[in-house]
Amino acid sequence: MGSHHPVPLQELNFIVFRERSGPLFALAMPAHTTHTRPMSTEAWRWGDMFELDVPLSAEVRDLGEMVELRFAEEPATPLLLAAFSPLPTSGGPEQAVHGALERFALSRGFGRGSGPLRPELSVDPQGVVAGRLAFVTDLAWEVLAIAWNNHLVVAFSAAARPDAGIFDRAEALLASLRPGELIVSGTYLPEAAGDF
Amino acid sequence: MTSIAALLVAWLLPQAPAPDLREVDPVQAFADWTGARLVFTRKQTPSQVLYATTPQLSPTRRREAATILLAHARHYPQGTFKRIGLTTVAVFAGCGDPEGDGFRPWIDSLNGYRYFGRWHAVGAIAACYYDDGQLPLTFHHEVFHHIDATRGGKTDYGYFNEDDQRFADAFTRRDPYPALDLDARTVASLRGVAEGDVLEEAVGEYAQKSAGEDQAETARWFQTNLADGLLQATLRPELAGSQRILHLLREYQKASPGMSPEWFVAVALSQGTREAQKKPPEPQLQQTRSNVWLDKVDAEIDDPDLRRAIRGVQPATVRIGNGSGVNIDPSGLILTAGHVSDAVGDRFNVAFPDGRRFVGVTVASDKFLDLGLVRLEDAPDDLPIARIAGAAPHVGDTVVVIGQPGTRTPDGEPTNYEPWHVSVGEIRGFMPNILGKQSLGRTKHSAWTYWGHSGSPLFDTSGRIVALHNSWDSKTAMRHAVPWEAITLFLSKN
Repeated sequence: MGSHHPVPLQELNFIVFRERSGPLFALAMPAHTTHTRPMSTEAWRWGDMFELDVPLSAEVRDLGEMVELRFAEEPATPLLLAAFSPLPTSGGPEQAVHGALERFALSRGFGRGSGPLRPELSVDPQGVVAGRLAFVTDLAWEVLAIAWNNHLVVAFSAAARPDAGIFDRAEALLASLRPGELIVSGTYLPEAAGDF
Repeated sequence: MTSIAALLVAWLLPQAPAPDLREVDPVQAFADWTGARLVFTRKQTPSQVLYATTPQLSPTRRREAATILLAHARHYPQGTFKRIGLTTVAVFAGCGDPEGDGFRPWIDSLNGYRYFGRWHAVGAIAACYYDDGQLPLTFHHEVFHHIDATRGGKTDYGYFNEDDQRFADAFTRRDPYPALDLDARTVASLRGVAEGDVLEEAVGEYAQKSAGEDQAETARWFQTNLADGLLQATLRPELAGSQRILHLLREYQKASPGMSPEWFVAVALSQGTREAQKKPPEPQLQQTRSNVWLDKVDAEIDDPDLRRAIRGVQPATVRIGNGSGVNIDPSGLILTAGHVSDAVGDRFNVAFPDGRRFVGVTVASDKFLDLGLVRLEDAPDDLPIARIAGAAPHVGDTVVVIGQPGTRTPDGEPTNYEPWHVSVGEIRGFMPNILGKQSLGRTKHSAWTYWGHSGSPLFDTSGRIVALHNSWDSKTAMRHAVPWEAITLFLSKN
């Protein structure tokens, strides 16, 4: 999980695609470009929700609630990034990540009889939950999920082989994700017993 | 009606192409079903099946003949004639030939002995239309001659006589066949539509001419007494007539696997009423798990790789309520259109093409994306599935749609469309704002659809789901589908 970007982000025009009740998300917009990172990247912001570093060479197709990225090395293998808020579960970020990964696998034909699903989950000190699940059906899939506060981001890709480079790029991309409205654990200290 | 309401109705009704209310052309419908031409002139008929005298039918009688033969052609799975190399069915007002065979009278008006029909191993049969009761008998008789000479779609005269000894061994009980294995429920259903006729021995005197004619005569009796024939083959295998039928059932299946006993049971059960005879047979065998609709894939798709891919996923396509869908989870999770799944908690009957039926409950529904998920209750965990593609399709990509066209027009008229319809088309383009409101799906395609196709999957050439049909544009007749991107977004959330 990357740290907050040191340079103030540029505020660009937000274009809202989806018009209906419920949460609205805005286009991911280039917020800042830097060449100091290992790969030449530019910071993209998704409304107030998060920002992340996208390689300059990536082709970004903004779909509103989803972003499709294609990398020059593997143009036929897209990486999809979807963001949801509020969480699709009332069980908090950890359950949201676990549920998203499991749901994803089951909806791709990885039946419960296909073998155990073993999502890898980690929780950082600030309460951000990150998870990863790789599995193989007729395609090799990798799905990554990050949740914090009331937000969930899911990224996934499919390739013919489980060692395809797209999966490394997906992991690098989500490792650069910097949540907005990050609530550090100290914000909500446990209340004293009997204080309610 | 307010303008908003008018728009809503306009969207709801023409979910698929406007119904074609013209009367069905039985000649074309015969060709569509069988894959063989129905012709009425000597010029269109291979000479090997012509008699010396074959007067033509009047236009009215041709239409009557075609209507009769269309109903009886549906005793065979769609596309079967094409698959077994039977390309032409010729019908005339009479068949006369100066050479007799000792079994038929001389007719002056025919300037010869009166025949009923002829088969020759050139992929053609001729049938003469003397009366409504006789024509189907001749048709099934001559069709069986071709089947008798066909193995796995290949026709050879050598096959025609190859089985004659086995046939004789069966009905003389030197080497009888075991009874047909139908479950009690199917037997009860057949009894409900049977007439009580029994074929004790051979059909008639003409069966003595040769083993081939004996079999063809048995075939015409069986095809016009399906329920009775299946019942006696199940319950009274000791009868010589039953042994003849049991032999035929093997011959049908050897010629083309789709002509299975389960298929003929389904045809027999669909004939319970006169009205039902006009309809295609429905799979009513919950326990046999015979996917009688798989033949439609073969009939529609010539490319062997594409056919193999689509045969692999057709078993996962379902009828859900009055719409279509596809199973994506071995334990039963149906992906369909939001206007099919309707509200969370709604319940539906869900049917698979192998005849299995389940109750499903809507667990997710998104009206904006027009997508829904229906979880099956009490389902096994090894149901057939189709998988979502790893990426969106491109313009020009081939797609195959398998769906459930409505059997009635919005006005209540029968459509004669079959379930598990297979149509091939291509991706024609995308509307902007791919994740916008999908009341008109934002993927455009050209595969044929009809009312009831909503929720049917668009498969790519690997058999992966790349979109879900949900609507059509009444002005352009362009079909529209919910895009791959919307499906992936929906599945990530639900």
